[in-house]
Amino acid sequence: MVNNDEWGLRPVLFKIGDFPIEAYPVMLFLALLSGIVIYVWQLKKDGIKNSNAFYIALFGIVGGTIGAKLPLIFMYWNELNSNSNSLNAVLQGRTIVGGLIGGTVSILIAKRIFNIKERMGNQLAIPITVAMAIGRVGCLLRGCCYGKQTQIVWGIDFGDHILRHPTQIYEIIFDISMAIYLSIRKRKGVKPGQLYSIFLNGYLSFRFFLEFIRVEKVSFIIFTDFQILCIVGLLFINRKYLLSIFMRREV
Amino acid sequence: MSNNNNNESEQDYLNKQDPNFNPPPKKSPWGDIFLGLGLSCLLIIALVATLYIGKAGAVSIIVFILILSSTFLSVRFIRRKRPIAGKIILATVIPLTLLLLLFGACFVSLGIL
Repeated sequence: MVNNDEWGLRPVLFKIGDFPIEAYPVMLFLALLSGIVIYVWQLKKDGIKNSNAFYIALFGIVGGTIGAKLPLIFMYWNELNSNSNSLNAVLQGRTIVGGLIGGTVSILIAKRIFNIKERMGNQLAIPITVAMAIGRVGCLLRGCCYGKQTQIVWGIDFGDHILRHPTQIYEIIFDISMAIYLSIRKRKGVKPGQLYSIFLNGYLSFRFFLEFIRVEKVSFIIFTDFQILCIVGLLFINRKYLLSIFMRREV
Repeated sequence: MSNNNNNESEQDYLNKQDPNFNPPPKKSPWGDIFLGLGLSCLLIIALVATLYIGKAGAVSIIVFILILSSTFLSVRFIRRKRPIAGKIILATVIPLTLLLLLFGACFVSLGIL
């Protein structure tokens, strides 16, 4: 059994006296901060001075945070309710797939309730991608979200002397490439909200395939819970397109 | 047409200048402040009370519902007639969301929870 302190590349960044400054929360904070800063910068650049942009970001953060926790609670429902000290599991676990779906659903509900017509998808996509890349650096340092055992030269030993796929690095590379691609598309001109749709389709598809080399529990045939979540997310984002194809065939 | 509009706006201006024209009385902000503080306290009490349920799954779901509904309520207040109350509730909800849900892992690793 590996000790928690020995697990991960650098779980504690530094210490102030006896007080450890952990890598994961620091990276999470930096991710949130950089996401907000880039979003505000994008709004200024595009000349948007509407308070609705703030509400959309607010519901994105709150809905995303709740969405990131909710799937894990249902996945580990029995364990959570059987152990009296299991609130730790709720506080520690989160999934980005759930966060993206939760944030999207929350924004859509808020837009309908408050009659918000503006589409901020083009301004939201790049900040989210950058924030996700920074967040994954936290995962890499803490040693979570790792891949299966491998013999490839770039395999990483997280503390158990087994070389594993550095799935966090794969995801960082994907996020950076996606951010570059989205900014190029934005410069060329896109429809309102189109970049967010491109980003979600790209990330959920990428994550679906990445799950095959990640250490996760298979829950349905060969699929993990997160792959099922990815499929649900992809169906939800493309619902209008799928419905239009279905309706055309009906006629 | 545009001449007509000009005449109407001029008439509005003259009406407002009329000494007999009474503007609506200025509303005191204290009602909104107390409403905001009261609802924020209620939210915190409800969050603490849910911890006594004991089942972590049920506790989390109730906490999520409370946080999400208070966010919607605060934005509704801000956009309608009680912006101060809405802002006070929002100032309570955002730190709670970040502390409990996003940075909750820090409390666990530091041994606070």
